[in-house]
Parts: sequence; C-alpha cells; structure tokens
Amino acid sequence: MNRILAVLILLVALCVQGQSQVQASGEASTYVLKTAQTTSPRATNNGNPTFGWRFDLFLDAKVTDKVFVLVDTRALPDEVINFDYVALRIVNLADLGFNFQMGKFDMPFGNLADRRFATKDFLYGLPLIYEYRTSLPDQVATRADVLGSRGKGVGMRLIDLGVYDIGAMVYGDAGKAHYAVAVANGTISSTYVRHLNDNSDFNKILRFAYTPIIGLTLGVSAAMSAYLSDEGKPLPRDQGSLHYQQLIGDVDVEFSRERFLFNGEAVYSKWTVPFENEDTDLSAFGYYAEAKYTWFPRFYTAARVSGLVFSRVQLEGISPRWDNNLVEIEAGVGYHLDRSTLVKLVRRETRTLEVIGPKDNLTVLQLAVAF
Amino acid sequence: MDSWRAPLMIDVRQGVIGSPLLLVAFLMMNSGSPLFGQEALRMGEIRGKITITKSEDDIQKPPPVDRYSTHRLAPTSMSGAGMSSSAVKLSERAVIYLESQSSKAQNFQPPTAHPILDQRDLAFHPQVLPILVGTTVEFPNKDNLFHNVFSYSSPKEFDLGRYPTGESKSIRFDKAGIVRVYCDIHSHMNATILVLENPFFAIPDDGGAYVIKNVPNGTYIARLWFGRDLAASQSVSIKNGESVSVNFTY
Repeated sequence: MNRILAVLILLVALCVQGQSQVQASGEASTYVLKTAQTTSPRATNNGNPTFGWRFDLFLDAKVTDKVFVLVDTRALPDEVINFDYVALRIVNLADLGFNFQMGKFDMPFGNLADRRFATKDFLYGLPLIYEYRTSLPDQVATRADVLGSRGKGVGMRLIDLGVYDIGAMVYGDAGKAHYAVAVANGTISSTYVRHLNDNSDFNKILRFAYTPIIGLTLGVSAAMSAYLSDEGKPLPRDQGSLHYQQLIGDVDVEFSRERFLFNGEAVYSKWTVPFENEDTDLSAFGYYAEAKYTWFPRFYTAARVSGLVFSRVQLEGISPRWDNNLVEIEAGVGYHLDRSTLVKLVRRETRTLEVIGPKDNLTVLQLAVAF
Repeated sequence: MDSWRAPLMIDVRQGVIGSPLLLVAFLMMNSGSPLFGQEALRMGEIRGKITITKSEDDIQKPPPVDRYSTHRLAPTSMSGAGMSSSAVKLSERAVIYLESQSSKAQNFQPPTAHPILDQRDLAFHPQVLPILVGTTVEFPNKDNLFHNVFSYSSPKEFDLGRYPTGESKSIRFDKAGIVRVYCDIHSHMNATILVLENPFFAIPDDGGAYVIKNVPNGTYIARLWFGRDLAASQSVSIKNGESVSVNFTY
C-alpha cells in the first residue's frame, strides 16, 4: 500500500508542476499455462495447470526539456508491488552531448530492452540466460552444495531477468555508435532482490553498440563485480569478498527487414568461487537466437533456441559439470486482436542434457494488452 | 504542392476534377445519372472556413522520453525538425468532404497519381489523408530509421514491414471507409486515411479556408474530419451551380 501511495504521490507531484508532462502507460497480461510435472526450475506450480497475470505501470515524466523521471511498477500474483525502475535522467548533461541517469533502472547489458514485456516479447518466456537459475548461489557454498543443487534452480541466473539494479550511468550516441558506462549495486547475475549493496564493490558495466545500417545493430557488453554477500557464511580463506568476482561478457545482434525480425545474444560468465579447499573458477556460456515473421496483418510466428553450457569442476576424481547443460526451443504464434491486444499460443520444450529423466515442457496461452 | 493531385486538379486544396477536358469526358461517361444530367453541367461550389476552438493536443505527440535509448541509438528525426513539430498544421489535420446517396452509385475514376503519406520526423504527414476509393497511396520512409506501417481497419488491413530511408511501398484502397494507420515501432505515430466514395473533398489551408469546386447540383452532407475524429456535419444543397458557404466551428 505504501508503494502504491508513493506512486500516486509522485504522479500528483509531477502533474502539479506547471512545466512537467506525465505520460502514464502500462501493460497487463494474463495467461493459462501447463508445464510438465518435474522438479525442474522450468516447471511451474508443480506441473498443475494454472492461471496467472502480470501488471506493469509506466510513468514517464518530463520535468524540463532535459530532466525526466521514469518509473515502472510491476505486480505479480501474490507479490507486493515492485519498483523495477525509479530513475532520474538528464539528457545532454551540461551541454556536453551525453546523458546521465541515476536510480534503479535496467543495466546497459545485452539487448533485451523492451522485449522483457509481454506485448513486445514474441513468445512467452525469456531466454534461458535471463531466466534459468543455476546451482551457484551468491553466498559461500561448498563444492558439494553446488553440485547437489544442479537442476534445482536455487542459485543465480546468468543475467538476472531484466537486470534492474540501483546505480548511475552515462550514455550517449556518436554517429552510428552508442555507448553506456554504468556502476551499480549487485552484479549482472544477482540483482533481482537487492536493494542495497551486499559488499563494498560496485558493478562496473560497459556497453557499446554499432548500427552500420538501418535495421542492424551489433553490441558488446561487459561487466565485473564482487558477487558474494558480506552477510553470508564466512569466507574459507584469508581473502575478502572483493576477491571473488564475476566477470561477464556479452555480444548481441538485432536485425530486422521487411516482416522479419531477429535477435541473438551470446554471453560468457566466470565466477571465482571460494570452495572449501581452493578457489575455483566456474564458468558458463549461454546463447539464444530468436526470430519472428509476420505472415499477414495481425498474424505472426516466432521461434527461439536458447541454451546453457556449464564448465566442469573436480570432485573426488571425476569432473562433472557444475550445473546441467540445457537446450530449449520455444515456438509460437501470435495474433493481434487489435492494435494493442495480442494473444499468443506458445509451446516450449526444454532438454536437460546428460541427465535421464522427465523432459520439461510448457504450453501457454497468453493475452497481453498495452495501454 | 502534393504532386499526386496535379494531373486532375486545378487547386490542390480541392478534391474534385478540375481539368475542363477531363471534366467533360467524365460527365459524358456518367450522363445516365440524374446527378450528371444537363442540369448538373452547371457545377456549384462549396466554400467556407474552419474555426478550431477546441484545445487539443498533438495526436502524434511522442512519449516524453525513450527509455530504451539507454541500450541503442536514440531515435532522431532526419531533418532535425523535431518529432511531429509540424503536425499541428490545420492543413495536415482537417478534411472537408461531401456525402450523398446519389454519388454513392457513381463510379468515379481514381487518380493515376498516387497520394503520399510520409513517414517523416517520427510522424505521419499528413495526419489525415482523403482519397477516392480505388486510389493507391504511397508510404515513403523519409526518416533515417525503420518504421513499420500497418492497419487493422476493416476497409484495408495491411502490414508493410520495415524498409529503409528512401524506399516506399504502396497500397491500393478498394473499399470506402476509415483506415487507421499506425507504426508498429513508434506507437505514438498515427494517421487516418479517409477512403471516400466521391471526389468532392478538400483540404483547408492553414488559415482554415477551403473550397470544393465543381460540385453537381444536389443535396449533400458536408462533414469536417479533424485529427482522429469526425468533428461536425452539416446539410448543404447546391442549386443552379451556385456557390454555397458552409463554415465549421469545432
């Protein structure tokens, strides 16, 4: 309730300013889905069919020609309202040609951008690199802890959903190039529940994108930060939490022409992990490629292939992967009932490689409305 | 001057056939109609002025900020004129057209030249485009980024996809009605194509003055379309080729 009041107060405060203009917009989506009955993190509601919904409210306020306030609130079933985005933006700061933003916002890493929202997402879910929770926690853990958590979805994601976190950023354009430099709390893999910094380090993020021709954008992103919380179990050796860093790099491509759209990302991350007897580097590689084609007005088909590949770790003479490799295919159709209302039918198949067991899948019918 | 109107029109501000030679041929083809009988050879005209008193926002007003310009190039207008800065011109937002039962039965020849609906400065220009049914409209992209023009309106559903600066696509509109046009990438962009059953329409100048020439004798409903809506209607009769004044205040 306090958060709702805060949004309303903010809205009213901005509206009463003579020069400000506020645009309220949003998105609501509802769905009914059914997953396979597995214990995988890709299963929902133990495989029982279920309804769900999500609501996002966006408030964009222009305070002056150069100063903006941006707010996103998100609500899910049985959750409090979250603020994904509360930021102040100053464009063309001091007439230097670059822009400045501070607050909680989506980190400049990768090219997910507005495809995180149901009306812009060609399909239902996000790629594995954004959604799948690995077996590596952001707390001190033993080798057995990590290996015992494989396939359970209790650790960090590779890229934490929309990568919202609290920080500051400078960004701008130079011809066909775009750049962004940010520092923030948390890490790329662990932002979702953080409100304040968990250690004395800041996440350092760089992004550079180049658009050689209209419709094609190539991007690279990199970030590094200490990822362990100072509040967790004590470190096993005489090293501070700053020693245990996550290094992550990403390349992305966005291409569109006529009725065809394509997006892809490949990301590599390495964590230095304080296992009980030695520090060990664990790494993971993730990727996705997705395409959409509009066959005729209102109707499109889309498909995505995504995967995760984990490095191996030594344990008692064997070298298993520290989490199970995954490949996932998601495909579906979308139909625009009107300009702002989209209905999607999506099927997702997930294969956990090297593990014999139930196969994950998902079938979902989603209705999304932008307003 | 809009080039698409030139071959058939004397005045680009009017939608009726203006070339005398073409007019005679046109009337001969339609000589069986009461509307175009001997009496109709004395064409009248409707003149007037539009006064807009209603305070209305720019209907193609862009959002105050592009929040995802933090990930990629921010959209900028090619001309540097700013987003939809010229969108408030009355000549781009208003259309006066005539409706009558008798003219519905006529088959008017659409112009061979193609009207243009520009994608420029992250806005459609004009915001309201009147055309005769059967006309083909060009949709050139004059911005240095992609647009994706589409419509789900029942008279004509289409999706032009994405094409770069300098390219154009065209659509023929064979069914009368209101066609709402949008850009799939820039949600603030919108335009309306009025696919009309007769060529008796006009676009006012920026001061609001308009004239529809060569209107056959008869009784019509004169309608003012402003922005995205039908703003006003008046009944008007043309007799003996006279000039009738019809003013609109909205």
